[in-house]
Amino acid sequence: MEPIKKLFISTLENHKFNAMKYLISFEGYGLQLFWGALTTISVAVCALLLGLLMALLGALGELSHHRSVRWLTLTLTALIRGVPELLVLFGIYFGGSALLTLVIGEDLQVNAFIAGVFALALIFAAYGAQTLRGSFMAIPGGQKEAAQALGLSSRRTFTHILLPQAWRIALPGLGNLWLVLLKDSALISLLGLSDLMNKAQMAASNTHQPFKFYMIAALIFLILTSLSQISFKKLTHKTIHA
Amino acid sequence: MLDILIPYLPAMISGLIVTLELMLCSLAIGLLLAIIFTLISATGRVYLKAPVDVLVFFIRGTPLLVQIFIIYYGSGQWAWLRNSFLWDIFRHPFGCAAIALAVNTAAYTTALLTGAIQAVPKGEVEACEVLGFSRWQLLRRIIFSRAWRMALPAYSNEVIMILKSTSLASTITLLDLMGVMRQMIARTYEVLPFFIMAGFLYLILNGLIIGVFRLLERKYRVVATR
Repeated sequence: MEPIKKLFISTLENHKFNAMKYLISFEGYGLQLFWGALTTISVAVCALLLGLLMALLGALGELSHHRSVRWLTLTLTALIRGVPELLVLFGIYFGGSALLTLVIGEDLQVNAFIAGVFALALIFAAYGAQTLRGSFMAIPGGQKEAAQALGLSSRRTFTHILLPQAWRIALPGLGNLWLVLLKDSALISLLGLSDLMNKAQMAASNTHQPFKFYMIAALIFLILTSLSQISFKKLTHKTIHA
Repeated sequence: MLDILIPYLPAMISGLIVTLELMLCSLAIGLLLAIIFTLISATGRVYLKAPVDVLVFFIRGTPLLVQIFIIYYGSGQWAWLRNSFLWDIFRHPFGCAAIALAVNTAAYTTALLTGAIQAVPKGEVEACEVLGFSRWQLLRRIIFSRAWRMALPAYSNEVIMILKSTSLASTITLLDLMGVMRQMIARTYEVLPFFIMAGFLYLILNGLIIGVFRLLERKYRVVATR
């Protein structure tokens, strides 16, 4: 029994070793790159959720009956769309910290993750508000009138009649904006977050193989964008035929 | 607050010039590449079309920052490149940023031009064939002139995208407008005035681009049909 047990343990350990070796391949940076990719995805998804909310507010602001609200949202979105993404990101991170320090009087630093998410969400919303406004305007006026005639409150009309239809129309446009957001999320490495780019940078400088590791990062991004495109196609198909 | 900026105005202007140079360089090379890519796609030969398609897919699916890093840092990994005459381009951040931006805008513009060419009515092409136009005449007089007009409004967005993207060159140590601003901030620890000034200058450039395209659209009598 003893030799068989020994053999069993040794094969198990061998197997374990191989699995470990597999996990940390890419010159030992496999796991690091994986965690980096997870950070990138989580920043992008958080920014998407916050950005959708902000885009909805922006669209409602642009469609508001008050001229001042309309003017304010239109100016704000135009400003954000007009300056480089990098400037928005740095403006929120460094400018936000400077503002907080100015207001509160202590040396404060905005959290890099929160600043990154907020900046990416803001950029998403500046474009998304336009998309959503367009799709709200594409809904025939009769829909709203019919809902009113049926005695629906204006809140219910919005959540049950207008929003689902606008969502359907806006989906392809928002899908493209998600791809832009996902690609822009590479910028957060410049704030010092340990995302995919940051890990690739680390691996590149430690192994002296920058081409290889930036290429790996690019391919991971390519996989993410391709997967998003495929799933968006399915989602659009499903919502239209629902 | 803004009087902090005055001693740094010359540096800002030089940064602004670098940004404009980078933008115009990459747009010129990018447009040329896009026309070549579009013509290659239009030949319909798979072995010519496939490499272009793969390149466009790669460029459009990956962040520009990664592409810039691959070209700037990645090029140093290859000894043959370091020893060739091309190293004069790849050594400088300006050259690398220009290549990355040019290839980037080429990929997006190719998609734009291909769409515009496909939208040229078949009847017009057939009419020209009946009239005995040569292939070159057909391309120049009908297809390009129609496609150019159709693609012009969308191309203005592309130009603005490229203007905004030039700011990424500051990450590879190029002292463009963004790079100068970051340098000034590191030197003075004053954040807000420099960022506000940078935003203001980018917005002015944006406005100029939009104005130029308005004029172009009027000159070529582009009618918004979409």
